[in-house]
Amino acid sequence: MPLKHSQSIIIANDLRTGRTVYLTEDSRWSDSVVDAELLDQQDYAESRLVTALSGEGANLVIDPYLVGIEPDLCASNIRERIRLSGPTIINNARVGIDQAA
Amino acid sequence: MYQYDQLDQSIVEQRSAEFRAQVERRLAGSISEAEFKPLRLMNGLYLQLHAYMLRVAIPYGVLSSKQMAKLADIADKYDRGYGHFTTRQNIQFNWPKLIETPDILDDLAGVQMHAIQTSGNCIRNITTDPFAGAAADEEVDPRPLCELLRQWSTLHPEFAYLPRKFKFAITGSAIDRAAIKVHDIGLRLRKGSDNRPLTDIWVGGGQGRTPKVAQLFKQGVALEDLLPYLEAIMRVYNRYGRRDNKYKARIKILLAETGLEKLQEQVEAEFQSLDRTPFVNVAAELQRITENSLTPDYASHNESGELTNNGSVPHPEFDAWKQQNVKPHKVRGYVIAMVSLKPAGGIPGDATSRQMRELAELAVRYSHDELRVTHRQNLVLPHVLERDLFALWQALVEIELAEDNIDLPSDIIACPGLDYCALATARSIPIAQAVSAKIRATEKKTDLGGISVNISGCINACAHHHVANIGVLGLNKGGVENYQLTLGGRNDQNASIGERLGPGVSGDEVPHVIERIIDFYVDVRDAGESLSDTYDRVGKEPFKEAAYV
Repeated sequence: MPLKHSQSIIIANDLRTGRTVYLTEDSRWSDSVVDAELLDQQDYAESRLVTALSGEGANLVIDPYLVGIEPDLCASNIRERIRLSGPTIINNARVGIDQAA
Repeated sequence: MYQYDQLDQSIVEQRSAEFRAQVERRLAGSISEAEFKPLRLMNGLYLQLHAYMLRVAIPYGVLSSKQMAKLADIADKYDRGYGHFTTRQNIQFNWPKLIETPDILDDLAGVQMHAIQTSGNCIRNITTDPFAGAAADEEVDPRPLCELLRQWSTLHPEFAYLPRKFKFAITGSAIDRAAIKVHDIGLRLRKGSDNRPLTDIWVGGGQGRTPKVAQLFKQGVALEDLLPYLEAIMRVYNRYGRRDNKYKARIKILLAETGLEKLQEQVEAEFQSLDRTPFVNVAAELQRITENSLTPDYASHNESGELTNNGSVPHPEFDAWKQQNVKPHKVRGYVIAMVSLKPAGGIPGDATSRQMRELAELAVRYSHDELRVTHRQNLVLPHVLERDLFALWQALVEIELAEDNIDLPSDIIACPGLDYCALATARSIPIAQAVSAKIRATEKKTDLGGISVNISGCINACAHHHVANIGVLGLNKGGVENYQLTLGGRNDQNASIGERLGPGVSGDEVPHVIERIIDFYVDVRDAGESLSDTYDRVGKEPFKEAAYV
């Protein structure tokens, strides 16, 4: 079954640091979104979420969940987009608004 | 300012050691996240979008130079070289690691600081007038009472699990700079006919999704009765406050649902029946607090010689800063100097570690070792010799903290918003940056008087948008950020809730809409009339017509 978005990734917070991390193909947690495993089938995505939740059980991460993304690794909703790319606040406020809009 | 005794010190050290053990158990997997979360929140540690966030208590907004310097060290050692001062006169660090948080708490304990009760359903950091003990118009110094309430409420066993968080604010002046009427309990200290302090108690103010202005609950309470009376209010709230719906759990809802008279009766009955034994030494305790507090030695500083601008050389930038940022002090020859953390296009409330460290030095040199945090996210050097002002201003220019915009529209309150906060529905800081960058030029050309602009990134209203002259609320409408504007709010002694102006607008439009509102106000105001007064006089429609073109 296809996902709501063409692709998803699994995102969480690292327990020790709190930083945003991504589940990789080899079931590690990386702090770089380019390492994230791209999931395009619902059943497989759900099985990977089970793997991710076991990471929570192993005290590696907190609150893993699926995030729908576009082909350019940009999340489709603004909250997740900011979560993936970090705060939009920079010295030039105009650029900040434009970047995440 | 108050100095910890052995008991105070042991409490913060024990709490830090306790949290270290809790973190170790969490990392070892002996407690789950569900079990750990309430424990970390009790120590001010949140998990936000990108990282943990540690909220450090600054009791009633008072800081020593040593404490400010330690906050700068923490920003460098454990965070990203900056801190964010908040509307509860606290400071937040946005990037601490869980594994380092116990070390941060140890460092804080070393300078008589902590993060206890900066989160959770308990009595939060008590706030007050940032000019307390210094203001020329002050009737009663609220700081001893603030400290008494801090000690009473810290780890109070009955009030650790209230229906919801609970906020106190206290003022000792007729001009309310502490926004007491939008707190769960607001206290107005004043002098009675025999010159002894009395307290008027306001209950049920608050913001969030159901904004309310507090109601006058009890007038003229003597200091010896105040603590038991507050205990009685807290007990009644703890007993009857709703726990079935967190959006209806604040005391403002209990007051609305119970009615003022009935709630007063319940509190009075509790007050009459409670055991007064724990409170018999309140006067002695206030005396002990006063004796344990460092008081500025104004006389010795009168001899210091510093660079002054004696007027022989015109200096318009200094004059403008003095006009806008300097306030009268109760002691002749002294003034209160406000340090704006709102540079045009900057991040409201943020200070770099370098700025914090330099400010700590400036407080040693010019302000009897003391600083204050305001609920408008600025800082204060409360005891500055007027003749030192020029040298102080020059030093502030060096560290880019000499913006002369206190109480002007660019002096914006903004919550962290969707850039950091897990609860937010829209961004607030970039909007504030765009607004201040746009409006600053108008401020410099036109005397706008005081106009408050507050921007919240969600309905929880951490930036107090309901009581701003111009309030902005960021929402998420169909996946897109959308901003509602309110006009006519006030947070002073005449507190009122702002009225929604019209349909929401995009983030890009907010600065333009605000500029048009201000332009319209300038066009139609009567002499000496504030924006909210003009709004009350002419009504919503003309403002709406001007705002939405």
